[in-house]
Amino acid sequence: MVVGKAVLSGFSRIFFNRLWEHLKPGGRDLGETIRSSIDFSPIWTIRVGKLSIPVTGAMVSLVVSALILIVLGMWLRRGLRKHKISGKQALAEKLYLVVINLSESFGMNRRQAETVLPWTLTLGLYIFVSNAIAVVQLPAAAMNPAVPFSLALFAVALIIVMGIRLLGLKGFWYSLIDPIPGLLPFNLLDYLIKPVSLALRLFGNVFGGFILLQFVKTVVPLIFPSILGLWFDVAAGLLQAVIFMYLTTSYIGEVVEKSNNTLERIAQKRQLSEEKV
Amino acid sequence: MEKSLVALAAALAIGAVGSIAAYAISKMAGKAFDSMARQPEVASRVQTSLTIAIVFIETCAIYALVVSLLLVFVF
Repeated sequence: MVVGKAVLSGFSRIFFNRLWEHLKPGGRDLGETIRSSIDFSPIWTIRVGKLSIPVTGAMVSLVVSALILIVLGMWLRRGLRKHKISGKQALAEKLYLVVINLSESFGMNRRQAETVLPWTLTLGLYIFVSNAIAVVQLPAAAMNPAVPFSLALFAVALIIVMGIRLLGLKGFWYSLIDPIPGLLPFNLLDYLIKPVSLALRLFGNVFGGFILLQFVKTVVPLIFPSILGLWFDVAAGLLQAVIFMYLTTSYIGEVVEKSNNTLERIAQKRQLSEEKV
Repeated sequence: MEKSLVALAAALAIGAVGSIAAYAISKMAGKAFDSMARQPEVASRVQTSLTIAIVFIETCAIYALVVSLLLVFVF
């Protein structure tokens, strides 16, 4: 009993000392604190036989956000009905219709939009959850420069594969030929520039927000960072996820539209040559 | 001397590009609001186009932010 009390008072002394050290405003070396908080090295290494797989903070965030989305999906799936739908089903249907209308407004028809929807909506939700997870002090996934670049590579692969799947190889070739065949190098250059811009936009927003929040946490650690975190983590994550999804859908719609334009032009030429004969 | 030049470069990069981007977006938004008030039935199309244009202009400002962060943390 006496030993217990001594341990408790010792613990509370250390705890409150540490808490005051953490909470007192000012008095810290700003540059060193910010520089030391940018750490992309592995926090853990999984050993499987001879392999050792490094695990970084961003990977933890990605896996946790994937689990959250799986649970969310399973929850939304239960109790789907055709009539007298529940509130959550109405919300899910509204989200579905918003993305379908977005895809259709970029030049796809309904069947093509329904093919593309699972990929782009998952991409958008994944980016949102893995960056908004920073409010629970897990590192935001797009802070690590590897994550936005791999997401952008995936988006470009998605554009090309969806183009071939929706239009066939010949249709995809037509989309590269669109106004005149001499513009082929520029259409190909598009596929190199688009992922760079997508990745840098996402990385710049999330990393810049992280640096600013570290600065605020160093100077005023108490309540202010969490209020700012609502804008810089959650709202910026949502906005950047929506923009990523919007632009990916826009690029897929551009491929479809260019292919349709070329098909029309070929049909017109054939008609003109038939009329001449 | 070198550190102060690096700090100056980082500040100039984001300051110049950010202010020009903000000016461009404000002019564009003003015209968009004018056209939405003049013709309310095309308001949603104008808003969509405004959003796309803001995204592209903001990207340039974010490129400048990445450059200045790179300058501060690498040099």
